Amino acid sequence: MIELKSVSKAYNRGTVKAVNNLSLTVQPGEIFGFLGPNGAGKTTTIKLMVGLLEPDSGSISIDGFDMRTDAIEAKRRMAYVPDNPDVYEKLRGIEYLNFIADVYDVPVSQRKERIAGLLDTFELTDAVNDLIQSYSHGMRQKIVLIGALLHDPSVWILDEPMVGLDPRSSFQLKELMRQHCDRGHTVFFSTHVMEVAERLCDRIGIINKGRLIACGTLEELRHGQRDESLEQLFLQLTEEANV
Amino acid sequence: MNRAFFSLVKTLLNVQYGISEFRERYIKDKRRLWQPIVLGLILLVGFGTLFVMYVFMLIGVAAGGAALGQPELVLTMTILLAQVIELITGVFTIMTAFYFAQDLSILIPMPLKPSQIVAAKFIGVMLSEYLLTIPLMAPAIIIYANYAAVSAMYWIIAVIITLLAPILPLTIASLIVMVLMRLVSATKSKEFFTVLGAVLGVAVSIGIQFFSRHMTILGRDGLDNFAIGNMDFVRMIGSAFPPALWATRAMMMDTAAALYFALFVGVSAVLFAGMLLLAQAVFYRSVLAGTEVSGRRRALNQQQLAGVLSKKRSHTRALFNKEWKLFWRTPMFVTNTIMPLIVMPVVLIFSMMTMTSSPGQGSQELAVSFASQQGSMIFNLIIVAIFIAASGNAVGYTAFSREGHTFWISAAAPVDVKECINAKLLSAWAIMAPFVVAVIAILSVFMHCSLVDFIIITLMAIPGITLAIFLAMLMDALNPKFDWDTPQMLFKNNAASGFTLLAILLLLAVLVLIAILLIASPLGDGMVYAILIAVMTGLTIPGYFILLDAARRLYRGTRLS
Repeated sequence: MIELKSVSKAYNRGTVKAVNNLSLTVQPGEIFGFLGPNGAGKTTTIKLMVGLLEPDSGSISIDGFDMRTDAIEAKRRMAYVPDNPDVYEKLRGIEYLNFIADVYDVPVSQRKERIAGLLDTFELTDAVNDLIQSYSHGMRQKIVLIGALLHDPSVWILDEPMVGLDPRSSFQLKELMRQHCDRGHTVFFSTHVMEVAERLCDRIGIINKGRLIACGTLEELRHGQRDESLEQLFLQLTEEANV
Repeated sequence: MNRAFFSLVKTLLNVQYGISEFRERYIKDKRRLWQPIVLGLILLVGFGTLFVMYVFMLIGVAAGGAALGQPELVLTMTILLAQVIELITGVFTIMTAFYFAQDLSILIPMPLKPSQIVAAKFIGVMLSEYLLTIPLMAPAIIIYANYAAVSAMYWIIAVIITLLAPILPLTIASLIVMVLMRLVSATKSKEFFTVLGAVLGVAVSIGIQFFSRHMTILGRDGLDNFAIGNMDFVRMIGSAFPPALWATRAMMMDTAAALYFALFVGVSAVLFAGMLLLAQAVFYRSVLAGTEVSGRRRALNQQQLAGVLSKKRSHTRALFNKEWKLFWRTPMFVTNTIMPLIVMPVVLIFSMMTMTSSPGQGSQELAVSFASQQGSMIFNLIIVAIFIAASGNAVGYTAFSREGHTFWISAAAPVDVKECINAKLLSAWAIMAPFVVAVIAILSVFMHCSLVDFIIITLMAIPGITLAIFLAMLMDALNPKFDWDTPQMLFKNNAASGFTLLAILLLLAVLVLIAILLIASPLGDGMVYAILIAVMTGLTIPGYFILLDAARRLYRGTRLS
């Protein structure tokens, strides 16, 4: 479960409010889609959730562990995939995965099976012994995904995870996300692809200028207007917020 | 030359010198303005001292030359010095600017000729070289004017020659680089050339060391030759690199001056045009070859995979392994850190071998002079001071910044910051340890130091080096530089390096002061050593906690926004 309570983050001495009093709860067994225009505060929110930024106020907890007081326990329970697959280019794929397995305390008895399974799922087995600098953008995205998932965390926090993935891998990831939630775990991901959010998410949140302007199931967002697509809703809501 | 070219030059210069970034960071946000000011002052004090010494040396050379009827000697020497340094450094700056720059993928798809890109980048490199050329040549030009009755034309010619001086060596460097890059597959050459550059750097350092020793001896004999004969020193020096001689003759304003000026300008122009023609023919092909990266794509079988994944390591061990691999697999990290550490013992060996005209004798004399108890103590303290000074290197002041855009992995990992710090400290020590062992081995061979001295040096070096590494890491934690795409960018304008230098100097000043007070006191040697070890060890404890606190703030992201 992910819980954000009145979280705020400002830049430039408080003049730019990247995230403004954001409260949000993502329940176990739920896929939560986080939408918003460019610069709305999606990545900042995600960085606050994973501990890459510290909120000015408010609290964040992952599976009940507070990010401020129990950061290590909270981090142990989450998978994070950033919007850019920046990884150690000078390591081989397998060295990177082994490193991640060590720092996330994956037992030796489990890491081989998990790594082999994920490599197979994302079709990266043939390249895992190569230096990451020889990988394409999509392959880097895959190695980051595998690294994030290999300790089998309960909470997945993914920042635009489908970008750069080939259709097959993108499909596999969506399947994994569904299976993960079916096991009672949590997925939080940001995306610009409305169709993906529409089809995959149990609930959707829309952020604009740091404020959560809408949150709920697709039905709740539609307010009874059944024929409206998520794209139309998104445009309507963000325009209203801009006025 | 068209509008597109001038726009290209303007843009590249903006990026190279970070003009817009500077405005954004320091002019708009005045709170940070103290950083470049302090850094500028440090550089001014550091280089200012060197510059004053250099000017005094030139005054001496000019006086010597004038006494022999050759006041222009000072001009030839400085032009030669500037051009030779530009030639040597130019090979690597040109290689980086032309072939390893990140912006090539942006520039190549643009409707620009290869020669335009090369010319624009060349201008950028040339402007950087003025930082060296002008301080080297300007004092000589002014000093020479005091010895010769110069006209206004002298100053005009001198300014033109100073401005044109980098063209010739940089053009030669560009030609060498372009031919080399065309011959060797750029795919494999990138790291090879970086290491080659570093090796050449070592060779040049050693060469300069030998040259300066040799010149000291030669200088004594040479002056005797001058006294008895009429040796043309200007021609002798100029023959090493004739353009230096042409520039000197052009500035002497005699009947042949115009001819030499035309020769200097003409040869520079012809070679520059030739370089542009070569660029038009080969530049894109070499660069494009360098962008091809491929993996072996040899999959691991189940057994191999099991072998690789069969061991679980502690967090600190895993982080250390990662640090270690990334360090050694990035040539720029290695060269910027290791090469000065290699040069230092090598220079130490040559200094000891050439301390007197008879090789080997010097070290023995020094060993005898240090044989007295007080001498031995001062010697030991000097060695420890060298260790401390050498430890404030790039391993420490890039400890966090080396992670660059991948820092998120460390920050997001469920690992205590203390373990990250310990891994970085271990990795810094692992890199420093062979250097310490090498210096101690050299001392044992050349200085015949006693076992007791070595134990004392080692006991003092351990907390001293640790303290210096803490300081360097602290400077990086307080001034991290994660936003870099190439390792060159990490080392360029790195504020932490300047602050580390300052902090290490401060630490050494404090330690020297304590040492002087202790030596002057009636305390015995053993007690002096014990107090110094206790002071340094004592300082490492708060040092560690201050570093840990700064690192915790860094990992919490307060400095990432």
